[in-house]
Amino acid sequence: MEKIKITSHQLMAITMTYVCGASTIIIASSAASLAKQDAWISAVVAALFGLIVIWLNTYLGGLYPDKTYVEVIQLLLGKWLGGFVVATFVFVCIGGAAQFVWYVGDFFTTQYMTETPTYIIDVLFVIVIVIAIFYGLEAIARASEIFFYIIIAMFILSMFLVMPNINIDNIFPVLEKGIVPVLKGSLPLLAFTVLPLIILNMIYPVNINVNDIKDAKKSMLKGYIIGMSITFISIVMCIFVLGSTITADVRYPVVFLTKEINVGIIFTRLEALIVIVWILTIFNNTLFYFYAGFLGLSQLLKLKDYKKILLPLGLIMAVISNFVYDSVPYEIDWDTNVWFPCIFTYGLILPVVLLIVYCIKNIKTGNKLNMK
Amino acid sequence: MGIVVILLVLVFSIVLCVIEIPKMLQDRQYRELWTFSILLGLGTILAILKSLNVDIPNPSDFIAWVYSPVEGVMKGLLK
Repeated sequence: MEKIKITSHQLMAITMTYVCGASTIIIASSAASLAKQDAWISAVVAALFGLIVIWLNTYLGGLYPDKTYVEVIQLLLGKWLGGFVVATFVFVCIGGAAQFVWYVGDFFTTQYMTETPTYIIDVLFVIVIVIAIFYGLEAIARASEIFFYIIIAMFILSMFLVMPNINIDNIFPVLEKGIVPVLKGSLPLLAFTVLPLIILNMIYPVNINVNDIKDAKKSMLKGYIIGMSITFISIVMCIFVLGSTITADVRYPVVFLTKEINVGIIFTRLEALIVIVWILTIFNNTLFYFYAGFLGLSQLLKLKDYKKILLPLGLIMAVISNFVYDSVPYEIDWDTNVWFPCIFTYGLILPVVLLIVYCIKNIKTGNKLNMK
Repeated sequence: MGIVVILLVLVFSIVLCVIEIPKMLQDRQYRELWTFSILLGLGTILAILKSLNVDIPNPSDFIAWVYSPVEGVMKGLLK
């Protein structure tokens, strides 16, 4: 693809939107079902662990500043093994993007437009994503910059309006059953907000100016911290206002939370604020999963003109998104039991293996000084 | 409803082929042409089968099958 360069501020906006991602309105439920009223401590644990993940990803990216994650895999693991790993990575990315589209369709058909067929919403969403990728990464980055301010404003406004409903007692007793449930509760947070960050390695070193790389690392970290604080605040507010039992039972706890807004009878039913936030973040998330899958496939097959396969791939995703989950119980079961080991493989084990292979290769060639 | 979807998908694929294939042939991008044709064929067949209500293997099921050895571990961990 053409040499598109994005600024570090745009990277920060992208990272922040990406970290909030699909999980802003869902994650509080799964965290609270495992950690009860201590879910907010789980968020802190996950955020701290995420710092290691971010460091790992940026270090891996910094090793080859002109190569994407997919190219690094192929370079380090060789043609055949690397090609196989990349193929599975592409499969997971496209599947993940289709699942996000399914989420959007499911959310709108259960919460807002109950009469509309799901596939109409799915197809419209896929069309928007394909158009965004057609315009290129630069347009996406600029859009993320705008989204960044909208998300922050809407989120702070809705959290501010729900504040009168806070009941401090909901958070006690702290650490009732010890530290183990807290650690368990941080697992879904890791799986949905922290570990998927590896997909940003598809744009991180390649589309940044070489001189800005140090700056870009910082802005990525900044974006991550802002995104994690939004997740953290949403979980804390859910537990403060709804209590851990309701938070764990509701499917979209943050939407339920904003339905509680009741300021002087005038401001009620303001959940659309948080839905706007969620639509923007899940759009960004789907976009980068699809972008990673699309770019990964093109680089695996060594295509010169990437955009030729965009429309066929979009058609496939639109069809798959219709049946990628059979039903809501299937989705919940899949997300907890399958998605975690899956993203753990690609987001944590694979980068560590790549780093080890890199070290071994450098030692073999006697090029120890190059290891930094 | 099914016939409308099938027609729409076929029209989409044919229009896309008419626009894109001559360009690729002109530029001698045979690799792109192959990938394009395979992906578009796959997408069209999937869409037609789906609108005829045929059961299509689910990619999520496949990933679940790959990770089925650790399923017990995950169930114990996330309880």
